[in-house]
Amino acid sequence: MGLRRFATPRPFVVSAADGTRDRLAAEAGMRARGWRPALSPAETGMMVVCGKPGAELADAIENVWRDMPEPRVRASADLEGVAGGSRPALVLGDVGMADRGDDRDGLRLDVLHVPLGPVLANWPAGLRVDLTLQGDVVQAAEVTAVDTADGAFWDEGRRAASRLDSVSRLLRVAGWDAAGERAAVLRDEALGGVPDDVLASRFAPFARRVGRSRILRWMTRGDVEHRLDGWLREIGAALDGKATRPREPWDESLAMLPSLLEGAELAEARLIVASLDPDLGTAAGG
Amino acid sequence: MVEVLVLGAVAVAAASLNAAFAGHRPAEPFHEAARLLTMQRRVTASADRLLTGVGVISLPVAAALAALVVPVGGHVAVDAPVGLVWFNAMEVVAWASVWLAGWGVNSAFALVGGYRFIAQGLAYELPHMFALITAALAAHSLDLRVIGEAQDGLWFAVWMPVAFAVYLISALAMAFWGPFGHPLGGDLAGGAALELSGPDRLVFLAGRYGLLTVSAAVAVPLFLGGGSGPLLPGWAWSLVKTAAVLALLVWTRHRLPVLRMDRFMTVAWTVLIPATLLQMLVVGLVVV
Repeated sequence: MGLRRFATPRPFVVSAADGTRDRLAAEAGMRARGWRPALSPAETGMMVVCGKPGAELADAIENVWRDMPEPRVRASADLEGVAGGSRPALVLGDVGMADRGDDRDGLRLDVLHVPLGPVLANWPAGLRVDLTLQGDVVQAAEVTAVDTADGAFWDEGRRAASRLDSVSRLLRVAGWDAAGERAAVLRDEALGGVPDDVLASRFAPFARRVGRSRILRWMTRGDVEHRLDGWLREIGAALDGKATRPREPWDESLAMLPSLLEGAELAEARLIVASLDPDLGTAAGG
Repeated sequence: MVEVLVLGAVAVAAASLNAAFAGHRPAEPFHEAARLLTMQRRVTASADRLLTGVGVISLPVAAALAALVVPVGGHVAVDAPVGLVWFNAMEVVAWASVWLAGWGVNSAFALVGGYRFIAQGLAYELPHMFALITAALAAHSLDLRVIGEAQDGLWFAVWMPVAFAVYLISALAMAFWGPFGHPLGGDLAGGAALELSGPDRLVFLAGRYGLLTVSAAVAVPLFLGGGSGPLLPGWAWSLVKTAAVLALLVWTRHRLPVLRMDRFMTVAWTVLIPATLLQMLVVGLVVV
């Protein structure tokens, strides 16, 4: 069909814990082709699975895949599509009504149980956070590592790129796609062997713009702001050839999460998770 | 009716401009439209299909109905003595559109996106209405053409800058665009539009461009002297000014992060409302 040939694909990218290398390849491939990523599976029929998901994540991916609109294509990280096959009928169980409960202001409000992840755009691979929400305020959070790996993609030689990746995702979660894309380009340049001094001169104006954004400071005030500032300083230091800290072990970040998330508004919760950016693809404990 | 079609074409140009700002091809919106048109419509479990449909379709319809009273030079599709009130009413229809689309699909994130737009409405609507009334007060009319013609030599934007600035902010907010894009936020995987697929999504997003374009076009008779200007005919000046305002609005998406209403609300009520009231007082003292 003519119209279909004219259409630009919009892949929905899902990453397993060991899929960082693939995810970066997919993102670079999309940029080279002028494609944009989809934020939700409903937006598109094209899914890109990065890495090798374990059984539990594979189930979650299968559920999302089964529910995507036709025409469906499943692609590997090189974005070469494999046709999707027909869709099995979706069997629906009864959908329960929300419970009620007292909220922090003493109002009785619906209680919703909503999972964040593991299949979610700009979200740490392999992580699931089960939220108990009233309105959009988190009452309780339970954190699960759905998919893990013991690789070490973000090794010592890739420290600047590693933090640029975190910054890129945090900025996208903060609703600033243009700056997030710039960070991703710098990240790919760092991985692609652009010399550190050249990169430092490209990074400086970016860091200034992000660091000086009043709106970003206003919206992230507190811990998230401090972690972002820390990342920007670390990237600068790494590009200067100075020693930098490795990422925090992900099990420590996960242990902190429930207490940080409780009481946060949903948007804030996303920013908190993005500002910790646990990498479940490295062995726990370092 | 030509005026409405012209504004529709300007809305398409805005989509192209948005792609160009992001470093993509200007033809990208056409490729995206082709993709959405050839995609299956997906329905979520226990969705309220009627209300979702009403929400999706009412957005571009509200934008088109608002465009009826927008003057292009001396021409207007429907000559309405209360055009300003009509524009305001159509813009509030968008609240229902986003809420229904977010609520109807029966998805928690889409619902939160709908909530966000209602909260946003509570933040921007009062300052917005005070800004509109200030311009109407100075022109002694609710007719957008009369307001445009009342700015003989001195644009309202020049001597009521606070009202103009607040109007630009509220234009972004009513079209949930750029820094006010939280109802469709990436942190909610697309928020109120999360579950919209295929043609539904195309219609909804086209409606948003329509709303953004109309709100830019209304700034011209309200604050920028309408179709007045040297050499060119009135309609050309209207379009040039509309394009300039629209380009500014589109650009903000690439320059600013998104605003959260749990933080912005305080500023809206403690800074924007008093500021617009003071502006109205000053204008009232000058014109009466």
